[in-house]
Amino acid sequence: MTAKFSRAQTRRDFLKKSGTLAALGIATSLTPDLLFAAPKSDLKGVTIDYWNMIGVQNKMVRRLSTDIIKAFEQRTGATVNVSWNSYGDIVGPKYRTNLIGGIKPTVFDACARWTGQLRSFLRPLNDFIENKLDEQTRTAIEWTFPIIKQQNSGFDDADDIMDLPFGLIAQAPAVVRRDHFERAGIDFEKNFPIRDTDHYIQLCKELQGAGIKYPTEVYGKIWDFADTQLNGWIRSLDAANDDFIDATWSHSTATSEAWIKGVQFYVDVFRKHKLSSPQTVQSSDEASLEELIKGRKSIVHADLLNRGTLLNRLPDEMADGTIQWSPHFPLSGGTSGSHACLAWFPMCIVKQEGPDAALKEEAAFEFIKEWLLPENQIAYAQVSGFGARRDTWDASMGAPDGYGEAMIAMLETPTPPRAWSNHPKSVDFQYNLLAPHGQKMLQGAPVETELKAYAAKVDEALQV
Amino acid sequence: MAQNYTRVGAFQKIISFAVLGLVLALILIPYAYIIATAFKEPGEVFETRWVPEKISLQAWTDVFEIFAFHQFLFNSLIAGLGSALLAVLISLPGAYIFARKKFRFRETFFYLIVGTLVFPFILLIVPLTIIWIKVGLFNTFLGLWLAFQIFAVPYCVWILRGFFAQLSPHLEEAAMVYGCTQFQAFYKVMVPLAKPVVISVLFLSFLYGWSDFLFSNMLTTGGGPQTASVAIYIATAGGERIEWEMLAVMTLIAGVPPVAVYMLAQKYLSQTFATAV
Amino acid sequence: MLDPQERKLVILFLLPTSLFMLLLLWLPFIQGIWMSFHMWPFMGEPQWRGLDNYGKFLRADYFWDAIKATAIYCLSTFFQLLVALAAALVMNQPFIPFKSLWRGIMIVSYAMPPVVVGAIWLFLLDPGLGMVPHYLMQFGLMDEPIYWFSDGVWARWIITFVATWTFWPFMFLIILSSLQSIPREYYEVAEMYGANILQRFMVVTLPRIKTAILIVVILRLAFNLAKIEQPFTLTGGGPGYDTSVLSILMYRFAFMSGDFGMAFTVGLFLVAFTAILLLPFGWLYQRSMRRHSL
Repeated sequence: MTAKFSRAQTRRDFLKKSGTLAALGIATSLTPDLLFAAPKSDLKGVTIDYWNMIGVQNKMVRRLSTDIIKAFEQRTGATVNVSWNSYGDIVGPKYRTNLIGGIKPTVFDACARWTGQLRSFLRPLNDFIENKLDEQTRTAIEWTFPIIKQQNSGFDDADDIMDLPFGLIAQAPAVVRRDHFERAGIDFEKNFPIRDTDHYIQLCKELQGAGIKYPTEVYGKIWDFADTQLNGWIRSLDAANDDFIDATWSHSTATSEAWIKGVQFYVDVFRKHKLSSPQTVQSSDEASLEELIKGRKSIVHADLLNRGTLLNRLPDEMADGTIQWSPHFPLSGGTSGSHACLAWFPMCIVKQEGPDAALKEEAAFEFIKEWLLPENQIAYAQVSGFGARRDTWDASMGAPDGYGEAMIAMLETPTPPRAWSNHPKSVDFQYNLLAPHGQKMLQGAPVETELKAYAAKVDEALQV
Repeated sequence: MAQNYTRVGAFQKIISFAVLGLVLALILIPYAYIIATAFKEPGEVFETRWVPEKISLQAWTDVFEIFAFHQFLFNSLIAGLGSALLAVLISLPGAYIFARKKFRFRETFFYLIVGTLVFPFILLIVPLTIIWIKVGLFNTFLGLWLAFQIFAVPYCVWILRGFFAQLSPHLEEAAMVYGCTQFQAFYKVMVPLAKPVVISVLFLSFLYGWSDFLFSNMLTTGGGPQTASVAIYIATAGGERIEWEMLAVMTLIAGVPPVAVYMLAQKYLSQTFATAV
Repeated sequence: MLDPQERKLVILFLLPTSLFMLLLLWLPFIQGIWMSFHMWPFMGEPQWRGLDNYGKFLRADYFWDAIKATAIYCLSTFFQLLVALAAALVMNQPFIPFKSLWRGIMIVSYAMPPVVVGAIWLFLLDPGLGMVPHYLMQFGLMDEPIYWFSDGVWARWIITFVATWTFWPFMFLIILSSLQSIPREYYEVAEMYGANILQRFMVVTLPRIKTAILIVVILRLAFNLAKIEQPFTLTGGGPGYDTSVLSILMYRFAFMSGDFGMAFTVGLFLVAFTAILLLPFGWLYQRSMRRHSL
């Protein structure tokens, strides 16, 4: 592992001098395959359509993506047509309608739990993984296979891998301001990383005592309520009932003890402990991070995609270690051995028709492989989430803000993290049905009643 | 034109200027702030300042260099112009007939068309998209132009009919006395009279085509005629966080052509009004 | 009735448009009514449900929230009319200088891409970071930030305000066109008879712009109730269901829950709601048109 790794590193140093992203210190596979033998294949004349949704807003990811595509085209002779899309397109009607109508990309990226609704259009990748992936890469991503299977447990064909992650985030580490700790007289070395929720509450209260009015935040906005720190807390209590639905996809888990306790704590941060701002009912991690940047918050749970914002906005504080990423932490008393949920970004290949179908699908898989090259994985981890390849994680260690350490601490727990289920109605369960009840709870409605009402809606949706 | 026909009271003047000031403030204050935001660095976006500490053009260059915004603007222009022309071509004759010819089921037909205004459009885009794909209109300008008509025709027909209905019922007769056919009476007499309304309708349909998101997004894909609205949404607000300074830049740019078109049209518009009626 | 030449004209001018509209809008809509009696997923087999969807919607915990939000939201049309009428009357005064500049500015809000206007107001109104609360506090109009979007009452008025801000120029354009078509002489005559400003408005202005006003009110009522981008960006339908106007609920059922049966059920409530609101205005419009027709 170390040997493999240093080779990639050397190559990166070499590439630094040549690639377009040299200025950013990012290596890509733009240059000839001098040092690292990428699998050769000839796909001259093949055109693939790539629907790109992940990172389209992020300038640096967009640049990286352009470079990866260029490198792929140069290496294989294939052409890639890119369409940029928004989250709303996959959550909303666009992808589904287009696919039903027959407008099909060859390959697209997505958030994992949103691809279940499109599963009937997707091509299983097992044979490609078996035959077309080099040993080293397969070993590096193998850890995702059981989790992918678990994600799709309600499908008859759960053994088929239809979405292969290239990037991931673990929900959700906490961004911590070390200077606030020091101002409040908290010994940072002894109190970081945050151990559990009791510790978290205690730290927040001390920070509040030192003049930070609302040192932390829980989120009520539709897309953030159950997409950030809440689920990790529930998971720390019960790793079997922390998803929105049970493993057989027959009923909601939201009335389980773990859910009630986890959500109650979440609400308490705001209503009982008064550590979260009056904005809470409609707050988001992005806005709270902005408050942290402005020095008005001290501990903010935020997904790793926000790291780009921090690098942009607080370059000095990111370099000198003032900003630190703490791994997420269990709810006090939670012993399940895991307290993180994965929201990963897979690539999917759409089943193709016509005489060149096989060739296109093959080209699409070559394209996925391009994204899985170690140097691309490392480059991706520098500008956005984490790479899916385990053997590249070490490259993210040692950054002054400690994001790599935080991520790895959440990924390498005694019980592995989970990825939310890929049920075709996952958007409904996670956001649409839950958020209104979540907001009512944050406004003071009793937790158990609201969760029951939510669970009833999920159960009804599962019946049909 | 006689300007001295009314004595304008001081009170009336004060009220008028107050209303004018208020309405302008309501628009200009947010607008000026958006302009300021467009020149801020990301770090300054949330500082309440009207003049950025350091004027940054980063967002302006990013918008064109990374997000190729000019291509999308061009698409918007074609989409808007084509949609406006087609809307008038389709609606003008229809509105004329509805207003001035009596025939069986006239009212029924009219309400079948105008009644579609209350339809839940959001739900109809799914079957529409599938039809567009099947007949090859997907990802084409023609497809967009036709799709916009679904929205534009009902209100254009209605507004234009309202205008024609108010004209003297004897105009065509008079024209035909001078030797016009039915058709000539329409395009030689009625169409020129309708100029101001036609310009309003052209403008409204242009604006609709220019700024539409729903159809432009559903009926196109990468490399096709995607409009500026789609590009703005995807580049700034379609994912995790909103890129405010770029959002400001793109919003400002996308807002200029419609206002410019209106400024050009309005001169013509008020002239026509002064003489036509 | 019609002579053959006229008949040809009617068919030529009308048939293509009518067919286009009927096939593309009425057929899917009628199919939608059929769908509302089913559990109709995006993909897969629909199941007959009879009137269950209607019953479910009427009994749902969000039903009255949605009706209330929609009722308040549609008031936006009347606020738009107020602003548009006031602005148009002012812009029709001869003593206002630089008219064409002001008119250009006045349509700026309507010229912005509607899909981002919601986001822009979110930015301006953000209680902690936005420009509006900042100045309201600085000028002492507010002691501490109001968390608009966390409070159902505020949130409903905010989405109504933003809709007003965005769409009033549409009304302004048409009302102003209509105002400008009133010959100046009419006012002179009215003045000669000693009419004051209010009387001039009631006797000369209003009758001549009445049709235009009715048209824009009807159009905007229908358009506004169908809009979802802005309220959805601003509040996501929350807190709770407090700002879940019918169109948002419909969107959520169709595309987040993937249940077209329920979506069309809500959609038909929306159509009914809109139609009931439009009836009085439609009646007034018909009456005013009849006076003009042959």
